Formats: sequence, structure tokens, C-alpha cells
Amino acid sequence: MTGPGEGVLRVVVERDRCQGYANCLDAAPDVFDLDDHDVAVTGADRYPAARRDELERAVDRCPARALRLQEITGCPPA
Amino acid sequence: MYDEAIERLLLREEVTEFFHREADLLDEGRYEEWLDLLTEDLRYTMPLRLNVAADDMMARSATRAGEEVCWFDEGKETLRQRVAQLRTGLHWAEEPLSRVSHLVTNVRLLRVEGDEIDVSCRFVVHRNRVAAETDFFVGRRRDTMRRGPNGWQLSRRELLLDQNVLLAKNLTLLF
Amino acid sequence: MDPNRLGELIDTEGGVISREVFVDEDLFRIELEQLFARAWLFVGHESQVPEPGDFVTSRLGTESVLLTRDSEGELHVLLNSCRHRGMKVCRYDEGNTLSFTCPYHGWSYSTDGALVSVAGELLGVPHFRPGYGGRLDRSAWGLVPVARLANHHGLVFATWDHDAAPFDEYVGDFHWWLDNLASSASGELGAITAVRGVQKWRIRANWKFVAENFLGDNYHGPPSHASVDAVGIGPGGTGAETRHGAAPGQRRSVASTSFVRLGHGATGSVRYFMGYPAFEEPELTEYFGRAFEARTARFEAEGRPVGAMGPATLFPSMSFHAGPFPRALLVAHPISPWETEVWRWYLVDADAPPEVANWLRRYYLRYSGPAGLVEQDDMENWDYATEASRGTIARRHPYNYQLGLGMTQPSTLRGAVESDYFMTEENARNFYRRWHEFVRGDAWSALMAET
Repeated sequence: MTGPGEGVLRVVVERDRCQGYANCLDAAPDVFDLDDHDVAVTGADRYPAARRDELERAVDRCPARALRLQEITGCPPA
Repeated sequence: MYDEAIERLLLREEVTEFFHREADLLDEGRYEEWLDLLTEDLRYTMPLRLNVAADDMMARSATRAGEEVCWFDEGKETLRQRVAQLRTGLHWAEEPLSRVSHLVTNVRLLRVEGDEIDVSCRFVVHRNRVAAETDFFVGRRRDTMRRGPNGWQLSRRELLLDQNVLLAKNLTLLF
Repeated sequence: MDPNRLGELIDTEGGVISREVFVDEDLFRIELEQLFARAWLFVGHESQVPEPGDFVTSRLGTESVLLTRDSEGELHVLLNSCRHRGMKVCRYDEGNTLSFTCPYHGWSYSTDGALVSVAGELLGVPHFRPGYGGRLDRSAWGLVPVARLANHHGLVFATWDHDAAPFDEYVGDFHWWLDNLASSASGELGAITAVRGVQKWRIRANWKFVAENFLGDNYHGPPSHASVDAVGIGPGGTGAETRHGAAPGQRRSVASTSFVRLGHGATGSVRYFMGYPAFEEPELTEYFGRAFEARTARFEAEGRPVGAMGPATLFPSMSFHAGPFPRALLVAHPISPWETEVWRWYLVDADAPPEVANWLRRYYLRYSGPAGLVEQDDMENWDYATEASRGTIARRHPYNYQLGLGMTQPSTLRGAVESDYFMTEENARNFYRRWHEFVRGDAWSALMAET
């Protein structure tokens, strides 16, 4: 788990679009899981920039285009 | 306001009468008289219709006249050749002649600028040929017309046929 | 139709061919299985899919296929049918995408080399974990690819048959005609482009009437197209047709060429360049004049023969004019014994000036295709020939293919003959001989023996 204030990328899941292809799990098994509704969820709220390529691959692999990467900038909340 | 509305109504009626007379000339095989309704610089086009994604509809759902493959992209000279070919009596695709009816509807004035107007309408052309060969051609038409000393003439006809694969063996028809 | 009677249908020695070949439903089904599922068929021109992700839908036989360019720039031809329940994964004529997701159950296929190892592989299926227990072997359920693909200087061909002879062997010395088709007016291989837009239209005729028309049927010209010359539809308008570049005193066409075993046929021969016409537009005459000079020098330097202009047919169903003028091609796609969908492509030099390309485009449109003043009469003949041949009595009376019987000489080309007279049905007789070999199920070793 990343601690508060660490990392710069968030993976956003469009829950309405997700259809449970589970391709994201294949690409990054420690990042993604499927919840009880077979919808993708991420283990953490944010990930370090070093994992960008891997996360982009996971995003690209989604046939439903239910994933996107969000840059998190600025100071974290105190 | 009222006078303008009446003017427009009369003009639309005049244009509709022109289209109906045109239909009569073509359906009766009076092709030369139909040619007289066309200006010498006429542009006559019918692009292909393509199935494309929603995002591409505006740009790519029809081929571009003037640049790409169409069903028709020609001027009055080629239309003269088509008529001349029909008159030889040796143009087997129209010998014997087909029985044709042109229906023109949904006539709307799009632009009125002095002696030049743009008109939109729909066409339904029904063709019956030999014994059991029947074709329906339906689509939209956008025409530009100019009023000269001999009345209205057609200077531009853009046809949009509602077909992708042409479901007829030929387009010997004058639209 | 008793398959054992196949041998009685074609008599190439006597020049007699049964009408059943054109109208029988059982034979049509056998054609789909033994001919269209095995032969090399034309798919498209590479200029239709210039960028990675570009695709066009095309057709092989009765089936829809996707001609795609993957993320690495490679071409693929894939059956346009989802492996799950068969839905067409793509109902667009053209577009750009590296993934095809089926509208029915969401199965998704990819041509992105970063995501899959084989173009068209199944990228994913919805509810993979709870529905399939994560156990579906996605690598086994990709879009069906053709067995072989050949890119002949921009002309893309494919076959479904893994045992098919390599394309170059299938074509043999007929390649001179394909080479010209794929070349610019100045003879540069690959330097052409297909004008955007493929004309597609339905005719009520057997597909073989179309193939036969271009493979060497000079005979039909004057009667079928009687209305054409009177009207000045040719490139020179109503002026007398003069041709530049032809040898002095050369007749319009001296021979037709027939590939006896391979079945391909062409009007004209490799030995004679039939010239290019005097165009009404002087800049066209000038353009082709310059191109002809360049072509002559290039062909001499490269050892290419001067002729091979066509029209011609690559067995079974792709026909074309090889140019320099005109240059266009078509495929006759079978639908039923009595219905065919014809597709037409029009080709121009890739670097032709816009005025030249535009003049050619407009010429093609008024000459060929359903609005073409010339082709319209062909289609009337093919349609009513098919209709009048369907009857019980009509079918008992074979067609006469005796024109030019026994009137050939060997060609300098491997496996080919040239007719003594420019009107002949030798090309057709050999086409049907080849048709018979495929349809009776000859293996490729037999098909390619002594070719």
C-alpha cells in the first residue's frame, strides 16, 4: 500500500462501462481486482509514476475503455 | 410579412411545377426537351454512400464528388451522350425501353437570391423493365436553379441515393 | 446434379459447355467449397489502408472479410465473423481501429501488436472470471485469418487453403499482366493508388459471365456495344480513334493469350503494345506521351515485354484492364447461381497531377460500372442470358464455344498459347477446363502439375 501523499497516478474506473473482461487483472494483477459485481477496482487510490507504463498497458487492454489514468498534482490535503 | 410569404409560396409552386414537368418529360422519353432544361455548365453528381462510424458520418459517409468514385460526376456533355445513346435503339440496357415514373416530393426552398435558388427535395424513381425486373431508387436531391430569358434552368443537381451496394444492375436512368 | 456427371459438362476439344455450369445449384455449392475456398482471390489495394489501424471490409467468395493494417504496418485479412455467435464484428465499409468489439456479447479482437501476439486474436471477453472461470483459451478463438496472403506490388490477394500453391506459381507468366496493373503509366511497379470508393452492385447473372467477358471475349464487342461508337464515348470523343505508340501498321489486336493449365486469359499478348489514344484533352495526350517514353525505356532496361495491357481475367473471378490506359479492376463475387455482386476499383498513378487523375476518374465513371455507358449493355446480356438458361429445356442444350477451335500457336510464355485470330473462345475453353479441375476436387499437386 502506498502511504498518504505518495505517488502521482490514479486509475479511474468507469463502473458503468466495465464488463468484467479482467484484462486489467492480467496486465497488473497487484493493482486490479474485480468486486462482487464483477466490476474492476484498484487496490490503492494512487500509484507511483514509475508504474506509468504498466498502468497504461492495463488501460489500453480494456476493450470497454472503462479505465483511464489521472494525474494527481498539487499538495495532498494536510 | 404576408406578401413575402405569398411570394415564397408562389415560387415554391413554380419550382414544384418545374420538377413535375421534368418528371413528365423523362417518363415520356422526351429527353431532348429535358436537356434544354439544363444549363451548359451543369454539374450532375451522385456519390457513393458508405457505412462509417458515427464520428465519421459528416466527413466520410459519402464519397466526395469532384475527387472520388461516384455513381455520377458529370456535366451536360455526358448527359447528351446518354441521351444520344438511348436514341440509337441499340443500347440494349434500354432496348426495349424501361417503364419509369419519377415522383418528386418534399420540395423546400433553401436559398433564394435574385435569379438563383437552391432547392431540396426527395425523389422516388420506380423502374419496371422487360417482365419482372423492378427497381426503386429513393433519395435526396439538392438542386441549384437559375432563371434566364427562357425560364428556369437547372445548373446543379446533387443526388444522394439511399443505397450502399447498388441494388440494381444499372443506372441508365436520368434522375 | 450428379457429381459424377461433372466430366460430361465441359468438352474443350469439341468446344461445347453445358448450361448447368452456369445455373445449377448443386454445382454452385461445389464451387464455393472447391473453388472459392481454395483459389487465390483479390482482396483490395494497399492504398485503401495506408495507415496502421486502417481497415476496409472486403469479400472473398460469399463471405465478408476485413483487410486491416496492424499497429506494426502489416496487412491481414480476417473473416468478419465473431467466433462466439458469428455476428459481423464490423459493419462499416472503412475506418481506423486496432480493436473490433462485437456488438452482440462484447467479444473483443485486436490488431495491436502491443496487446496481442497474433493480429485478430481475442483480446478479451466480458465476465471472463465469473463466467468462464478465467479458463477460456483466448489464443484459440481469434478472428479466422486467411491461410495465405500475397501482396503483389500493392495488389493484395488471399486464399483460405493452406495447401494452395504459392501465389507466384498460381499466377505463372500471367504476372506480366498483373505487373502492369500494379504499375503507373510509366511502368513503375507499385506507383498507383486506388481512387477512394469501390462501386458495388448486384446483377442477376452467374459470376462466370463476368469473368469470361474480360478474359478474351473480343467477339462480344461490336454487337453488344453497338450504341457506343455512334456516340463518341471513347477518350478521343467523336474524332476518329488514333492510337499513339502502337507499331506502325499494327492491327487493333493481333491475338489473345490463354494459359492452358492455369486458366488465366487475356485479350492481346505480351508482344504488342496497343498504344494509347489521342485524347480530346491535349494535356492527357501529353501526360501519356511522356509516360510512354519512360515506360518504353524502363521496360527495355528491365526486360519487361511491351504488351500485356488486357483486358484480362486472373482465374477465377478477378478481371482488369492493365493500362497504361485505362487501368481498372473488378471482382465478380458469387451470391447464387443467378446472382452476383460486382465490385469495381479505379486506379490512377500515385503522383498523377490532379487534372489528369480527375479526367481519368470521370472517364472511368461514364465508361464502366452501372452508370457506365459501355458496361450497361454487358450486364443486360449477362442477366438475360442467365435467365433464359435456367429453364428445364434450355439447360439440355449446351453453349457453343467453338470460336477459334484449333486455331492457336504456342506463346513464348510458359504454358500459354496465342490465338491465330484476335476473336477466339480458346481463353474460355481453357478457363472452363481449369474450373472443372477445381470443382471436381483435384488436389493442388494435380492442379499445378505441368504448369
